[in-house]
Amino acid sequence: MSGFFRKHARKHRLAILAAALRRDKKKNFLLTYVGRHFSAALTSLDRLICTPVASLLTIAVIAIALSLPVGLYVLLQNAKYLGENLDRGTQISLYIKKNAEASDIKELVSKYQNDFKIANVRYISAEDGLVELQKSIDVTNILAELKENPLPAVVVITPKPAFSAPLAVENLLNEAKAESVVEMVRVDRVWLERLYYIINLGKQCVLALFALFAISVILIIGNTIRLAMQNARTEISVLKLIGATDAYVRRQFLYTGFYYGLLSSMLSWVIVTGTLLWLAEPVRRLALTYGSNFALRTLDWHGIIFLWGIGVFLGLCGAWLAVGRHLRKN
Amino acid sequence: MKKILQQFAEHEEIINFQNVSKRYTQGEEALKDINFSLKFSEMAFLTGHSGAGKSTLLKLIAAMERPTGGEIIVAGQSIGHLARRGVSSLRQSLGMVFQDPNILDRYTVFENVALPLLLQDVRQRDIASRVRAALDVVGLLAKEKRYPYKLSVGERQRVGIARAIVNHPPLLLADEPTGNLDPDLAREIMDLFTKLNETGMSLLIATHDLSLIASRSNRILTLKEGHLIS
Repeated sequence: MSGFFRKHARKHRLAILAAALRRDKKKNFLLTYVGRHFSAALTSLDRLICTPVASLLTIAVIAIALSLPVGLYVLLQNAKYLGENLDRGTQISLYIKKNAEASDIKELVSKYQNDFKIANVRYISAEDGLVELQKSIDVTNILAELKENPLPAVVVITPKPAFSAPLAVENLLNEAKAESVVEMVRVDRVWLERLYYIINLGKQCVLALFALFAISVILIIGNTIRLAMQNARTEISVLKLIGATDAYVRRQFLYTGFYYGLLSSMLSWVIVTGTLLWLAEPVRRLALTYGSNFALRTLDWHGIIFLWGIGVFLGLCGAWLAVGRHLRKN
Repeated sequence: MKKILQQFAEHEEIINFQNVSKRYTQGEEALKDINFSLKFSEMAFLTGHSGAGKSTLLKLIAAMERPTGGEIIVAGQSIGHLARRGVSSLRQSLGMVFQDPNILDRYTVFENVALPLLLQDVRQRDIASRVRAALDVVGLLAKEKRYPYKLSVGERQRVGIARAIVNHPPLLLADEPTGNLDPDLAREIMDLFTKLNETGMSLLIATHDLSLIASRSNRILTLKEGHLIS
């Protein structure tokens, strides 16, 4: 057993001897760790800056590869936001029977008010309905011919966004139909369903696209770092000769991947935001023709952190692959 | 600390070759059944015609090549089956000087010499003083800010030596360190090695230049066609 440990010892006895002869002090682990990363980060940055044009081109390529799925994701978020806006309009109207008792209606309204799935309940009595109708069109002549108010009382319920999925709305409808005071239930459902499924489809598309582009980003960064290591081959071999560990070499190039990932995801954020700003005005005009004051939303800070995180992660993945291959070969 | 030093002193040998042979994959046997040892604080020369196996022997000690037979013991520990991390720690505590100094043109003289210290996480404020001490020994203190490609061959070689000794290694290996130098410079470098030996450093120096070492009293190991003839 001791033989095993000696063979796989992390430190050779000569190193122990050297340290004893130098009277090395025990090192502070944290300081050492920070120092290593600091120097690796600096060396790596120095290499990146040494070839500015090549580095910028690589960053641009990765940024563009990232921009497509991110841009689509932002558009999808906008569609969802638009959908949520419409959800406020996806109200279920419960038409109350003419002969319903006032207490029964009150009971129904309070029942929905206490329902956790419902965001908003509005009761419009027959009289209120008539007033509202008169506001929008002139019906005095028609009404004069009718003996009584032809409008039924209506309870309008709005489900919360979480319960706006087609299946949940269907359930609500069936429940409402079963109420004894309810004559008829109406909802603009086909439209709602379609939008819901379109957004879902879009989500899946973005996911698939993102997976593809993520792989391509890993490959681009991996290949770039493979070339960088090829260029630094003599340097790496000299470093190995004077006792650089695999970790020491790996650290430097992991930082290269880190920089590529971070800088290109930042650039891709600029590209996406710029494009959205460019589209904002035409979208606003289009929305105005529909009587909506909908405005395009750009990436929120959640999204920005996520994008940068993903960029860094992909950069590290690509670097890890390239460095591992190089170290195994040499 | 004392205990460790005592332990090492008991072994008394910093390098010990036991029936070591090395055959390259091409089939040629570079070293055959080598037995020798180098004591602590000893300086020895390794000579022989080019192709006699001098470089191979030094490469085996630095674990740049693995022996095909026998065992190499450095500071009391076999290096035959070292893991990658162990090889790194071995090389960190060895000083190595090559015929081609293997210095990096991208860095200044100072940075080149500081590299081994960076590898071993020496603190920044200690680095400067130790690098300058090493540069002072080789007489290049005034040129620490220069880039190596602006230096003469002899100066480049001395940068390589400064890098090898900056970390006070107990053992220094040199492979034809004077191969590219004129006789005066070569003698200067040899004197430098003798000076280092006087501080307690063990040295094994491979050279084919017999005239350079003839006047010195150190032990001479001679290799001939892979055999050691002392």
